[in-house]
Amino acid sequence: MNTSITQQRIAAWWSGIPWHRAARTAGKILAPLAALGIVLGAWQIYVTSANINALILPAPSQIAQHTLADWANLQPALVVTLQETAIGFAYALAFGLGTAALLDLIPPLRAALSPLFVASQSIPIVALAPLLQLWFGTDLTAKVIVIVLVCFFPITVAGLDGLRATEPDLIRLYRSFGASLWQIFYLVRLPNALPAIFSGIRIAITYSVIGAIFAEYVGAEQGLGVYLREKQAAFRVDLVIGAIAVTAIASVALFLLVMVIERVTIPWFFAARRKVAGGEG
Amino acid sequence: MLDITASFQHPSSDRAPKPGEQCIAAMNVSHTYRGDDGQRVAALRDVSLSVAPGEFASVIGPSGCGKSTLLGILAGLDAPTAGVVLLDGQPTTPRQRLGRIGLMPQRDLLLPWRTALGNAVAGLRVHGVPGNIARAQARDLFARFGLSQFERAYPHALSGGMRQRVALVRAALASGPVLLLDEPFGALDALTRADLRHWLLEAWQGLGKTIILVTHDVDEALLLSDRVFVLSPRPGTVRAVIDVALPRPRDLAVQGSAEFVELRRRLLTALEAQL
Ligand SMILES: Nc1ncnc2c1ncn2[C@@H]1O[C@H](COP(=O)(O)OP(=O)(O)OP(=O)(O)O)[C@@H](O)[C@H]1O
Ligand SMILES: [Mg+2]
Repeated sequence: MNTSITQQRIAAWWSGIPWHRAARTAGKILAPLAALGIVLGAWQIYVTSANINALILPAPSQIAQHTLADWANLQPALVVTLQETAIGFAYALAFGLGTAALLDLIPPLRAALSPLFVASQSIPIVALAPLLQLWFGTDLTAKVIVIVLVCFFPITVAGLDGLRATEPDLIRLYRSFGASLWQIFYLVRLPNALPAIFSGIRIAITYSVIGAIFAEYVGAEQGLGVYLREKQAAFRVDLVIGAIAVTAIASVALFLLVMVIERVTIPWFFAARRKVAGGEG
Repeated sequence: MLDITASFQHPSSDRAPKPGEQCIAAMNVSHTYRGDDGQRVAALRDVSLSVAPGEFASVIGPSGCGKSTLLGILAGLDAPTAGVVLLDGQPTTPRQRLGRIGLMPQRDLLLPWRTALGNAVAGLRVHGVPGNIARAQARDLFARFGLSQFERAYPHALSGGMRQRVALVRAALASGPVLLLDEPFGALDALTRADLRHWLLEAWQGLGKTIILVTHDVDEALLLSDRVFVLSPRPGTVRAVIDVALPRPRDLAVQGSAEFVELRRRLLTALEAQL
């Protein structure tokens, strides 16, 4: 009697687990990892079997080994770069969203400035970085400016698009409540824009790490960019590739962090999207 | 034919309109849209109608005759190109009407990031009513509208009929006594429509609202209204006003009565005369 109840409970618990979704999520994580494993494996086999000079192209195993051995030098560089990224990204987020809101609320300003923003994207930051270094030196300011320049655009554009995408009928409904422009903005249009803003942030966060490293590469005392430049000058291909891999991992980690924050901030968006997609449980 | 058997009573005589008393009225309202290409579209011409406090009025007319335009003007969302709208006998500007008249659009337009209860209090929050007071008011109505179990549900988890009921609660809470409904049940199946008519009558009689309902459905207009305004094709103007002096509740017996059939014939004739 008791056992059968326990069995029933276990069965209920078992069937209550959303296996479909768990399997889908696992697949989403495992598939790219498997692909990466295959590439690394092929690389390893090629380098060892073809007897490639390790100074030209080291094997993945060797890269991992040497990078870990040099971790004491790499880790502080990574910390410095991530700090710059965080500061630069915070400024970019504040400026980007502030600009989007301002341009949205003042249409003449949008008409005047948004074409300039689009045009500004054709300016190569590569060419600007040395100038910034000349003006601001090798301290934090130059790096933060580079990161802001790189991240500002995707955030601003996403914010502007998201704010404009609000249904006119919804705005009319709120006007019929007697809502002010400001109330319509923060009660309707801003929350409505959040999914778009998050996709802009996801793009910007990956740019931000690259921007920081690039700024360091041009001129800095510390950071991954400096590390890369030094190891390159010393012909340490293994450590250069290792540092690049660490950079990529850091970028992916930041990207995933944004996705987690997104899930927590706008769960309604994902719930509604699951429903549209017909996904169950 | 649909049956509304709930024990709704006609509004008590003290709420019945006194002669000449008007809650909301349009006087010689005309509206012309100017399209993007500069072309003018006359949507309404010289529309005059007056609805008494506690009255249930319907507006019926062919598609594109300006019914939504009329409601937008009454709500204060658009300024008519000519004419005035009176509230309680006083001429008003469109801006003065915003926030005083409840509007329920055809689509529910619930915010996906708010729960059912959060959506229902949307209008109250705009008016600055504190959250706990607003929620208490909405909870009362949720109980009356059979929504209590769904207070915390998000719109994507609600059925079409429930979403529309939440939108009705939101409109009822958002404003004073006047409620404008723009084909609120258009997208729903017949059974759900019957269900929602029941809740609409509850909002009307239970809450003492004055209602103007836009509908395409002749039977719906006759089942619900005290008076039906028939609009002509575009530019819309009032072609006929039909008094529906049928007893309430308008159950199957009333729907089978000779009076009902006769009113139905008159309404259809008024509609067809213009085609
Ligand atoms: N913003 C606008 N600009 C130009 N013309 C418009 C605009 N809105 C509506 N119209 C025109 O005005 C007329 C009346 O439109 P309205 O939406 O009021 O009709 P309706 O009676 O509500 O129609 P339906 O029953 O199909 O909802 C239509 O011919 C429409 O094409
Ligand atoms: Mg309409």
